[in-house]
Amino acid sequence: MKNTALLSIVFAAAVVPMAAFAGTISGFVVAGSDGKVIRGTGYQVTHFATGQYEIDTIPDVHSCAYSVTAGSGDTTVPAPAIATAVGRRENHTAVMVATYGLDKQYADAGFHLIVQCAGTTPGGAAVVDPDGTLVRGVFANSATRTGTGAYTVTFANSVLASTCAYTAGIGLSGTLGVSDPGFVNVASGGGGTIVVRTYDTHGNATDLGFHVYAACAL
Amino acid sequence: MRFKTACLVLAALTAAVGSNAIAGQRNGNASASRTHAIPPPSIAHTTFYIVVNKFGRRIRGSAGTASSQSSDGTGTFIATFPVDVTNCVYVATLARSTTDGGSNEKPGFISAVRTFDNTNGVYVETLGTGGMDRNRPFHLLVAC
Repeated sequence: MKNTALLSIVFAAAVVPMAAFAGTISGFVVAGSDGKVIRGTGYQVTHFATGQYEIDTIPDVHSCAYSVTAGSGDTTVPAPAIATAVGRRENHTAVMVATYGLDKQYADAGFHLIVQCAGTTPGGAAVVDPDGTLVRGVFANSATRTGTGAYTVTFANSVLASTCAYTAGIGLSGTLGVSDPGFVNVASGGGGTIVVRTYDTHGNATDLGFHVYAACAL
Repeated sequence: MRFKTACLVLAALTAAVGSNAIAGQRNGNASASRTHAIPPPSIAHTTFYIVVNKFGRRIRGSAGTASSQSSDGTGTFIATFPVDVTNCVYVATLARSTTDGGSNEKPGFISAVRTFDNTNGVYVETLGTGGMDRNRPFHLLVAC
């Protein structure tokens, strides 16, 4: 795929500090909207068309699960966006990520992708209610609602925000009913804190409960 | 909580209080309490995963995982895990399930919540961009 697009730019994780996790095939990457790798476990990212990215993972990852959320790798809070994933056809060492804007059309967006191939200890995880209450978590210290649809979650790992990938999904903390649908995006809050933003289906900031997962050393 | 869900819960309770006739996550377990206490750290944390196609079939995943389409109908699924996931974290992503890849998965919305009647289950709802229920494949991580 990356060789078919003349204007494609390949950003190799080798040019940025990357964690060494030999012996496992799980991994992650955080990429900017231009496909530039911000951090990760050695994956390469090719931005080959608007809102479309190929992630070359080296090991075969088509037996794995892909968790992806639109977001930034730094403290820039991104516009509402949706990210989806699929393994690349006939290439089991690649995952395709597609990002969509408010109009549900392809649109460039940064993303956090976690490839989970085995049981691993999460870097952190949390369940947060719409009012910002931290209901439960793994290595999660606190959560705060900072505004409508705006939250921070702080984990025990004091460098989590700058060294890990984090994905989030809309969800309730209890067992009653289901959540309203909406967008959820992530960004760094610095230190051990990440930023989560939730929006309704029209892109308006709205308080929604969410679950967030961080991968730091897969 | 969507209004229609609340109405369904109220209607179901009015019609069948005390019976077992109420089934389905959307009708829910109205008497279920929500836990707000942060559980103490456990000794060993781990992550489970499951990949489910749009028909609710488990394609791959951690050992002991399973899935099905919920009786609630279109766009609703139940994934089960080999442990009690009550105090776990569920992050669901719209993603194709085919092992041999395919075209990009369409945009849409997805949410997850623990099932009301099974401590080992996670209920996933998938919707199209217009907010209507649609059967969509997904990948689900569960961190405990």
